[in-house]
Formats: sequence, C-alpha cells, structure tokens
Amino acid sequence: MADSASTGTVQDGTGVIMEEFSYDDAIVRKFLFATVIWGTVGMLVGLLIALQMADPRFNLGLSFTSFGRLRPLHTNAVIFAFAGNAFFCGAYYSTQRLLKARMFSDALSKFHFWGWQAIIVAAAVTLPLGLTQAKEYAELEWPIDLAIAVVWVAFAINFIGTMIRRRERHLYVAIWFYIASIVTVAVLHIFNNLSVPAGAFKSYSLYAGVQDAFMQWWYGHNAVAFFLTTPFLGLMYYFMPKAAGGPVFSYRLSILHFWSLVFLYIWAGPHHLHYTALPEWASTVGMLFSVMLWAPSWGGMINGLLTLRGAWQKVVDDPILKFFVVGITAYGMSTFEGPMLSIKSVNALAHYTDWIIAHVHTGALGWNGFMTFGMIYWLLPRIFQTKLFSKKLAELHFWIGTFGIILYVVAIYSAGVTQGLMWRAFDATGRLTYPDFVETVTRLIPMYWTRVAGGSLFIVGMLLFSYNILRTWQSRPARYDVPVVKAPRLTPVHREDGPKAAPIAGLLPAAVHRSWERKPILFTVLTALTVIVASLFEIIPTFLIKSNVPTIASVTPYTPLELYGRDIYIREGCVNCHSQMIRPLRYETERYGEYSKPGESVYEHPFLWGSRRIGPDLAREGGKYPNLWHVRHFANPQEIAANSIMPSYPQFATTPIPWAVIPKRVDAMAMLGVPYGEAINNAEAMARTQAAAIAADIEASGGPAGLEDREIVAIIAYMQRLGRDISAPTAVALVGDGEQP
Amino acid sequence: MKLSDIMSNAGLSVFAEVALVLFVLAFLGIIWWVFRPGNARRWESDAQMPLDDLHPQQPRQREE
Amino acid sequence: MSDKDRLIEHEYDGIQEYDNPMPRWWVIAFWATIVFSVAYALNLGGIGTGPGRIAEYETDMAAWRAAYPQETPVLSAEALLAVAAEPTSVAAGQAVYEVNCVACHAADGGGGIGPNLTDAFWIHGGAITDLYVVITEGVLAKGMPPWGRTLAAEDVAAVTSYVWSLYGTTPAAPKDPEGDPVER
Repeated sequence: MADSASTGTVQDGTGVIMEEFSYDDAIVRKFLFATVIWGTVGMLVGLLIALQMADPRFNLGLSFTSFGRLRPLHTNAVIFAFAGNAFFCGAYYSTQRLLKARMFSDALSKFHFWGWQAIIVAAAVTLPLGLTQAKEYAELEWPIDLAIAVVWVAFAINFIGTMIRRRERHLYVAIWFYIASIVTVAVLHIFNNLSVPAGAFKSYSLYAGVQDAFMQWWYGHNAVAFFLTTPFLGLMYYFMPKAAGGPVFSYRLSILHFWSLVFLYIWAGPHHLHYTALPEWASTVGMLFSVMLWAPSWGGMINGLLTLRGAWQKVVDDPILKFFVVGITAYGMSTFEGPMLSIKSVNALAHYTDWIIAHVHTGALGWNGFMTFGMIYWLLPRIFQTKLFSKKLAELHFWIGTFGIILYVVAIYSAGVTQGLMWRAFDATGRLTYPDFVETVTRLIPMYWTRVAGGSLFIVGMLLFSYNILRTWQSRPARYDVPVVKAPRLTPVHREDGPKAAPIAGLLPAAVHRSWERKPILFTVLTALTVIVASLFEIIPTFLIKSNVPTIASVTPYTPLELYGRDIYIREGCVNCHSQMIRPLRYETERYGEYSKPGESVYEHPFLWGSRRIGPDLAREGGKYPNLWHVRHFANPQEIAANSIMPSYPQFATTPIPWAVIPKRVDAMAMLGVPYGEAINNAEAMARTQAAAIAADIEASGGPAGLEDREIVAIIAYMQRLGRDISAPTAVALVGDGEQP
Repeated sequence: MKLSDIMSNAGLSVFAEVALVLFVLAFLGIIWWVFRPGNARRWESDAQMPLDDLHPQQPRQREE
Repeated sequence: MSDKDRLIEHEYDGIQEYDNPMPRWWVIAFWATIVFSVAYALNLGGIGTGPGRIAEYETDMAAWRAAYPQETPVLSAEALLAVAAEPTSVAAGQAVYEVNCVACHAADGGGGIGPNLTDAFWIHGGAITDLYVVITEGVLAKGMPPWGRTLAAEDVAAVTSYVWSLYGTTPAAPKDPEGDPVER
C-alpha cells in the first residue's frame, strides 16, 4: 500500500517537508466488534418485546423482563450501542484518512471505547432493574448521564485535536457531519438530563409538564437527527464514494444538505407533541420546519444514489453497494414519511399508534442497519487485511435482511393505521364503534406475529453477518501490516490564497499560522452556536409560563404516597404503553374524558404524557374503577379483560413500601419548587395514613387484608388521583381519603 | 423560586426574534458561498478527498 | 494504489462532477415546501392553523351533540318490564353482559369487584328503573361506568332485563350481601 521503505521526515525536490505517520486501525476493529455484539443483543431484546406484544406470557412473570422495563433497553441498545458504535467505528476509520492524520491521542481513543462499553453495560444492568428517568432515549439515571458526558467530551477532544493536527487543508463534508453530531449530541444530552437527584439512582427532571415535554422532544427528535441521521450521512459521504469508486454526485449539494439539516432539524421536535397541551404555535413551528426538511433530506438521498451514476452494473454483484442502495432508499422513505407525519391532521391519526414504530424501524433497520452492514463489509478486508470470508453469505444477508424489513414494516404500518382508524370510528348512533380498548388491540395480534417473523429474519441476517465477520477475522495475518503514510507537513500557506499569501512558510507571522489551526475550532463553535441559538429561540418562549401554561387553581401536588406510587409507575415503565395526554379530538374525549390542560401538568417532574398507546390513556383514570378493581387488575390483567396484553404485577401486593425513602422524594420535589408545605416535615406519617385508608377500603369491599404497607396501595393511590384535580371543587387536601372512592 | 419564574422575568423573548433574523442571514450567506463560481474548483478537489487515503488533495502548502 | 488509479482515471475522463444540476422536480419541491410553510404560518389561502385546535374541537363537539343527542331515553317501569318479558331481549342482554360486565360482577352474577346481582340486596335501589338508571349513568364513586355513553339505548334496556332475570339464581361463589333488602 504505502511506501513503507521511507523513514523519517524528508524534504522532496521542491522543498516540501513530508511527515510520516500511520493510521490507528486497532480502535476501528474494537468498535467494529462492539457494533456487532451489541447490535445482536439489542435486536434480540427487540425480538423478545415483540413477542411480549403478541402474547403477554413472554413477559416471563419476572419484574425485570417485563415489557415496560425492556423496551427502553431495546431502544437504548440499538441507538447508543449498535448505531453509536457503528458511527464511532466508521468515524475513526474515515476521519484519520480524511484528515491525513492519526487520531490526536490513542489513550483518548481507548478511553472513549472502554468508557462507552462500560456505559452500555451499566444501561443493560440498570434498565431491567427499573432505574429510569422515564424520558424516551434519555432513560439512564444521572450517574450514567454524567459518565456519558465525560466520555463524550473525551471523544470531542480527541476529534478536534485530530482536526487541528490534520494535513489536509480542507475539511471534507463528512467531517462536518461528524462535528455537528458531536457538538449537538453534547448540548442535547446535557440540557435534557438536568435533574435533581433523590438518591443514588433516582432523580426528578428539572423541568415539569409542558416544559419537560418540550425539552424531551427537542432532545428526542434531535437524538434521531444527530445520533442516527447526521453521523450516518457523514459515513455515507465517505463510504459511498469509496464503494462506488467515484466522487459524490454533487459536492455542492452535500454542503447545502449539511447546512439545511443543521438549520432546520433543531426546530422540528414539537411535531412529536401535536394536539397535546403544548402551545399551538410551537406545534406549528415544529410542523413547518419538518415539512421544509423534506427536500434537503431527499437531496441527500439523491446525492447518495446518484454517486452510483455510470456504475449501476456494479450493484448487481456487489453486496456492499446493495446494502448502501437500500439503506439510502430507506433514508429517503423515512425522510418523506417524517414530514408527512408531522402534518397535524396526519399526525392526529398516527400519533400513539404503531405507525410511528413502523416509521422508526424503516429508519433503524433500513438506514442505520443497512448502512452499517455495507460499511462493515467494506471495512472487513481492509482492516483485517484479508479476504472477506464469503461474499455469498453477504448476499444472503442482504436478501434476508431486506425481506425481514419489508415484512416488519408492512405489518406494523397496517397495525398502526388499523388501530388509529378503530380509535376514531363512530357508529350510526354517534357512539364509539369500539368503546372497549382491548378490541383495538386484539385486532392487531396477527400483525404482531408477522412482525415477530420479520424481525426474526433480520436477526438471522445479523447472525450470518456475525459469522462472516468471525471467519474473516480468523483468517487475519499474524501481525497486521501498519502502512506508513507520508504527507506534507502542516504549513500555513496555500497558493489559492492569492497575493496575500507569502510563498515561504518560514516568513509568515505566527498569528496567520494559528488562524488556520483555529479554523476547525471556529467551525465547531459556529455549529454549536447555530444549534444552541435555534434551540433557545424555541425553548425560551415555552418557559414564559404565564402565557403558555395557564394555571389551574385546583391542581395541587401529589400526596407523598401518590408520589411514591408515581415512582413505581416510572420504575415499571408504564409510560411506555400508557399515555396520559388526552387530545382535544372528539374520539379522544368520548373515550377518555375531558382533554388534558397544560395547567394540569405543572408538578409533573418528569412529564409522563407518553408517546404510544399499547394500552389505554390514563390521564383521567382516577376514580374510574374501585380500588379492588386495581388490586385484581394488577395481579392478573387477563382476569379482568381476557384479551389484555398487559404484563401482570402480582409483586405489588407483596413488596413492602420502603417508607424511609418517601421523605427524600418529597424533599427533592420541594427543591424543584413543588409547594409541599407541611408535607415536607410529615411525609411518612401522611403516606402511612393514606395507605391505611386505601387498604381498609380494599378489605371492606371484599379484597385481601393487610395491604397497608405494600406497594399496591401506593400505585393505587396514584392511579386514583390521575386527572381528578381539574374537576375538584376545591383544592384536594394533601392528607385524608377525600379523593378515594 | 421556580425556574420558569426566573425565565419569565428575564425578558429574553427579544433574543428569539434577533436569532431568527441572524439565522436567515447566515443561511443565505451559506447558499451564496456554496454557489459562488469562485468556489467551484474547491468543491471539485474536496470531493476527491475520500478517494485517496494516502495523499492529501489539498495539502496546506503545495507548490504548484 | 487502486484508489489513486481511479482518481487519475476520473480526472482523465474529465467528468464534470460539480455542476451536476439537481432534478427540476426536486428544485420545485424545495421551494414548494417553503412557500407552503410561509402560507401556513400566515394562514393564507385556507391552509394554516385557522381558529386553532381548541376552537375546532368545540365546533366539532357542538355539531356532533346536535346531531346525536346522547340522552338514553327515560323508560317507565312498565316499559322496562315489558322488555324483560321478551326472551329475545334477555338473550341479547346476556351477550352484552358477557362482554362488558363479567369482569366485575362474575359470569353468573355472583359479584366480585362489584356487588352480587342475584340476591335481594341492592345498594342503589332494587326496582327495575333503579337498575336501568345505575347502568345508564353509572356510580362514579364506586367505579361503576356510565354505560349509557358507550352502549346503544336498546342494549342498555336489554342488559337491564338480563340483570333483572338473574334474581334468585344461585351463583357459584356469591359475594356477601351489600346494601338494603328489596322485596320483589
């Protein structure tokens, strides 16, 4: 490959000083293995939760394998472990080559690698234990969040350091995408996770209700944008030309693509909150910026696909290009669908349904999955310095994977549309056609089984992939050849700079020299500014609480027992299946009751509006059923509704309430400004009184005795409180059983 | 004092409008920069960057 | 070296990579989305937020309430007893009961979460009109849903007649009596 014969720093005939260096591919290999291992784990967890939706017995009767706890594990594993490691793998490979420089610090690279894997392990342990912040894709509790920030900063320093030491004058567009991703993810992560700890692995979001929802979906949408989209676009702009053997179709377009995404994406988050209690102007901004994202995104797709112009015949017998073509097409499909789903009237149908799940999986399986597979197949012979074990297996992987995606996505689209239409159906008498929620679930079960089949095929492909990698790795050389690369040393002048540029490097003042080095920093700062200023533009007005969140006098904080019950709700991941946000739409208010008002959420740290209704909305659950109904329903939901797919929670009736933690939780809430008053000094006694009252009612109505110190009374206290404040004639007393039916 | 109260009283909403104007100007500037004929050669050589792992397309100094 | 060869080949071919124009339809779409967004934001030409989601909801609700006044008709005891005397309506009521009521009152009416429906004890009155009202309006404090909102009027009457017919049957696991005895 390289002219490894030469040694030392040399000057060529024209006096150019050449430097010798090598690329660090060991780190690329490490990230490659991590990608494949965590990808397989994350997808298998996905398969398990898909089975749980088809048949609740797959919850296995264990608290830490129930859907509510495993769903965040699945999403975190595929986003941060699979896609994250894939991004790092490709970024470490391409960055060094695009900058003609070894990574700034091998130690930081290793720290990044091992730190990230440790975080993944911590996630895999804490999420099944129910330690969660209950914010989607930001579930990990505060100690892990701190670790993520540290590792991410190490990565950023390593990356920027490499840019400063680069030997290539210009930064290729892929590097821009990487920088934007690194900077934005840091900003998103820090601001969305601000919280007040209430224990070693328990915290409450700094924001409440509408503001928290806003921050969360500013984060959530941009996590998709800057963790799953821009990093992979960077990879596309490097690996697609590599695999196709020619430069990108239009470099100009790639730059426009970049700036359009950076300018537009950051505003689009509120489209996740259409028809909720979010102010309507924010919803409109989110929709319009999403609509405007369509053309730039398709520009990127066209740019990627047309890079193959004149080379389409290569696709026939190259599995790598096949993966890229389908991956980029999936990007095009999901970036058309995204703007479409952000249109309010479409969103009214799709929100809370499986349609969103199908949309996400077009992106995750098609775009992130297939781009990763293509990239790794391309990398294998290069970083293991041997032949790919089997091209035929790679072909098979491609076809099985593609078929799996189609099966998955078609089934779940139809599930989403079916359920959305059933929810809004009215019969000839003006009543809901399907008033029983379970009916709308039962109808989906065959589609859920189809999803299991599609997902299984995708995983079979993943196993073929792993096997191919393993066999390729086995045929690696005893020692990897480390080619020596030569490139001219970093000097400040370039001919194109015109008459101002001095021809002899040595004569230039140091300031000019440094100005070149500062450029990547300047670029990074500008990108950060773009993102932060755009965010502020959207976020600041929602914090002007007086105009956006009209207060409701009868809304009061949860009692200490209800607060603990809410923590159980958070721990079990109930928010993954139950929304608490009734939209002002006739079919919603007929089914669930009065639509949710912004002022009802003012003490919701974090907000629990949810994004998916696998089960019914619970915003007005309080008082709907007797306490005994809840006791029986938690113990065995299928006893109450035969076709329910809810996991059972018999352990609530046996697990004792740890009374000592309740005052700590109340203190943390009070620190956030929740007006607890007397309850701060008296939390435990108040909780015990309320628990005894509920337990007595359960016993009196024919239920089991002795529940007054069990978790079941706490979660029932919370359930019975939901949505009642708004109709309370006066403020609900903090103590007492006044609100118990 | 709640965070929202602090934010309410800070009078920050004017920054939002300023930001929007700056944004539009910056984006227009970028479009101009991208389509400036003088930059065409730059894009041409930049696009070649991924294709050569060993030799810089735009070394920081190069006698031509 | 292969990468370098390809690079040279490309330069040799003289391919003009950088002035590739975007497809016309793409350019039109790009501007169309911007025009749409501006029009929407300013509520031009019938697109846009219009009166807003709350106002639209209230208009929709008012129109719907006018079209379907949902009051379940008030029926006299005679009318209800006449329905209860029809075997077909009792059978229809049983079907409604099995879908909606068994979770709390058991399949044979013996009760569980809710009270026993077979004995002579009634919490909210034991006349057939009382049954009808409780089923229609529910008892919010006890967790009995207002079925008049979800069931058609004839279904409410049918299920009332079915519950009426359960009197005096012997369920497998009867719940203890609640409320006051009512002679029939």
